[in-house]
Amino acid sequence: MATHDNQKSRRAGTVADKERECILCGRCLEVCPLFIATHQEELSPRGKAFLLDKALEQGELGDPATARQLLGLCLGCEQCAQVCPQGRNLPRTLRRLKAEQPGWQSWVWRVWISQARWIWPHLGLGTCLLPQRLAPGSAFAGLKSLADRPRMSAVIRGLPRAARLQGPTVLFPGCVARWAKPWWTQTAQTLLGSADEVVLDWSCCGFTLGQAGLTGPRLDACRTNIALWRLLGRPAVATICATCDAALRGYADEPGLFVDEAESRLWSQAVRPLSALLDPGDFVRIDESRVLYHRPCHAQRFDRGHDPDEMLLRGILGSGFCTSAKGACCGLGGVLRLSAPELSARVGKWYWENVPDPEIRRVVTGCSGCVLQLAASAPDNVVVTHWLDLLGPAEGCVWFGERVWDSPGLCAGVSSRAKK
Amino acid sequence: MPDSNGLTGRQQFFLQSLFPGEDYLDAPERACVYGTDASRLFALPWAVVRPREPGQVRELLRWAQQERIPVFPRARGTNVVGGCVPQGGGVVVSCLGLDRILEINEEDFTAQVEPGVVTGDFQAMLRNRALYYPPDPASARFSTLGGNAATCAGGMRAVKYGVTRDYVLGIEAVLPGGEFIHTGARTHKNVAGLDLTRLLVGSAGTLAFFTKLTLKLLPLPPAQSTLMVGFGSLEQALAASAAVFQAGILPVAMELMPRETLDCVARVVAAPWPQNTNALLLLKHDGRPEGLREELVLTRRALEGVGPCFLVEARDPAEEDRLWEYRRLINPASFRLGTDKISEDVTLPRSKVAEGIAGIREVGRGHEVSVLTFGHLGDGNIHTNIMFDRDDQRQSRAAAAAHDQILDLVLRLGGVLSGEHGLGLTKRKYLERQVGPVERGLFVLIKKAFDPCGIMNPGKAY
Repeated sequence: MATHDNQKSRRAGTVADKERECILCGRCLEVCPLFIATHQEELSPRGKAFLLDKALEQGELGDPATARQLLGLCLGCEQCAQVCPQGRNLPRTLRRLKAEQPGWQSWVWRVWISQARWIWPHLGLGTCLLPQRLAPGSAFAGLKSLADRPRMSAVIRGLPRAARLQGPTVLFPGCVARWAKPWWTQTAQTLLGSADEVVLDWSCCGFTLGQAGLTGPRLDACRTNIALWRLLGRPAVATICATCDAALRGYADEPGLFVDEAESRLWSQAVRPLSALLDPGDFVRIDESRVLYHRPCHAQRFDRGHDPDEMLLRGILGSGFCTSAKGACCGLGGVLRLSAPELSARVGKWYWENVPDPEIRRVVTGCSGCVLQLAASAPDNVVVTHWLDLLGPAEGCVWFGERVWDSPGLCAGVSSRAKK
Repeated sequence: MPDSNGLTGRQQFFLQSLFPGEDYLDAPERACVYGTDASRLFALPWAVVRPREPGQVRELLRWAQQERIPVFPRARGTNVVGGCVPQGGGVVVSCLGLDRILEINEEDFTAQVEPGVVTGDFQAMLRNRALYYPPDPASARFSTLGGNAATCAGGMRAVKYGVTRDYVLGIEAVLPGGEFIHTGARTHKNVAGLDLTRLLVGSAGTLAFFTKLTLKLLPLPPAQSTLMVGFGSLEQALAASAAVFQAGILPVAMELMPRETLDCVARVVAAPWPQNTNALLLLKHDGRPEGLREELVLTRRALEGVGPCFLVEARDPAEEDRLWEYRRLINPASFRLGTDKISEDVTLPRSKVAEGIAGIREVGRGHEVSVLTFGHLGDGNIHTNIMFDRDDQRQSRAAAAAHDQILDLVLRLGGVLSGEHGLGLTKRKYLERQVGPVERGLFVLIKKAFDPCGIMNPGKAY
């Protein structure tokens, strides 16, 4: 067998992105959670990029079905895209391939319907799936078990209306908060000072739909959300799920969703995580136990790679704060949880085996999917919640129900603003 | 499907029994990535196996010698010379499942590791214990200690701290035929017998399969800093470099980025250097805080004597990292100049670096091809990238001719063909230009002594 250089025919590539070719440097090996958990190079971004080139573009390998199956094994976290010196985004390419694959969409629907209990919270069933696709019984059976609010002690206290708003702001809670964990919505609205307002009729953010290659339903969801935003007078949109936040920000890159450049820019400026509107100085830590923060794959990276949730919690918790190991991923990976549950489980197993402090009993994160996935795989003595669940009301106050928290005078001065 | 599998059914069965489940692969779709590396050469392996215990390696090599099946050791395949490519066919052995840190001994200042441990992870773990393993190839964050040892990886800190070979005290390895050998010791001094450890480091997987490395550690220098200094001309930068050494300073690292390289990086990221910068030096120093302060004063005095147009100093690790990122970006950025690259890492005696760089640039101009020269100025290891488009016949011919001429120039100046990449598959044919027939004859005899049937990574390096 002759050794030969594979560079030449890459240029004739059929991958539409016009991406620069993979130089096989291996930088993605450092960050890919699937590779880190398995040590299998064929599952790494470099491995899949090479296979894509060999199998599908050059037609050198014989079995497209095996190749496609392997190419489908991606968590979609896009960590590799963030470090790729060639600026490639392999997960995006793979999503497109999935969408083009004959039979893929019907497979996804079939599996989602049969596993509705698991996938249900990730989708805006109320608005985009339930009426058309699902029998109510199967979906609601799963809902009950998800909707139990865990009993746990508060770790930090803060004031209602803690958010520093610069104009009209509405909450985009995301499907999990809206349908399965309503108390997240309540806590977030309390922080925004809008607890009494009705929950707006947002659609799914579209992320999971897009990742599954369901392009049509995703675009429908985007359009519904933008229409509602326009109706509300284009307010700021606060998010409490990193994946929703990433998906919403991504609307600006989608051609044809906005009337013009200016509206698209306005949208980009409008969407921001709730944590970015909060100041750590308005909260106090009331529990000394250490909290492990899990950084979601889709969290925005700000200063030195920290994300807004992380900066807020680090600021409040100080020495009680730690983060998960490099390469740690919950393992959900959109449809990978359905298409390759054993791989998803291995990534999750790696996560718990590499928790930096064995004494950790509380793990928090800011992505709805991560909360569900980590909670399902956590050891018995570890509680996994959204970081919003760390919050209790200011001393002497209660969060919900009575309007006690409406009177700053009753709060024991934990907030800098209360002191003023 | 190409008929690539040179293994009989019986041989496949043996491998499947020794490497059960997913630890054995032969589907071309799964195995193909194991047929390439950062050289971008490719040959499809007959099979890939993933040992999890050294005992499996022993059984594998016993069998491979009996059956005369070529064996290609592989870690993360980040080398750029085709060192991992299974040319001619055979079984690729991935050592990534052998990834345990077996011991860190703070009294002996040694560590015992398996070959699949990622260098950067190991260094991070040591830092928490105030220990230090200096070798830092550009790939340290994603390459392995085993791969680094097999290639004798260098890096930027080589000026002060040397290369991988200087930090491997002992090796446990399996010979073709299945015998374990233990070379060296866990002492920092050892002159009993021939130094097989230093022979094995850099042997590119051609002599034995490493299963355990004993590494030498240093105390972590508590303070460090980085200087980025721009000059109006290359000559000034080279003079500044000489001035630093003449001031009695041995920096940890001293990297050079001439104008063409700076322009190239500026196509990928926003550049912090001013427009009139024609050459940039990056220097790193470390030590105890008080010593470091003095060293920096002397270094800055030496540099400023040459009249830099720009100087930044970073003392915070994150700030330093930001400055070094420009250096790390050169390789990926170089592909903006041409889709294909002939990558050399020739090394010159320090006194000949200026002459060498000038000569290499002249060769590039003469053949009208883009040539980037940059890299480890401090130790004379000058990376030379000849960029071209393979589809353009004129460019291809010019690149090949320039390459030939550059190698001759380097050897004429007393330099060597490769400082750290190795010769692998891509540069093996040039070996005879540097190494004489008697010495090459010794290479052959040594190879035969370790690997009488020639099954270990055949066709590579020498």
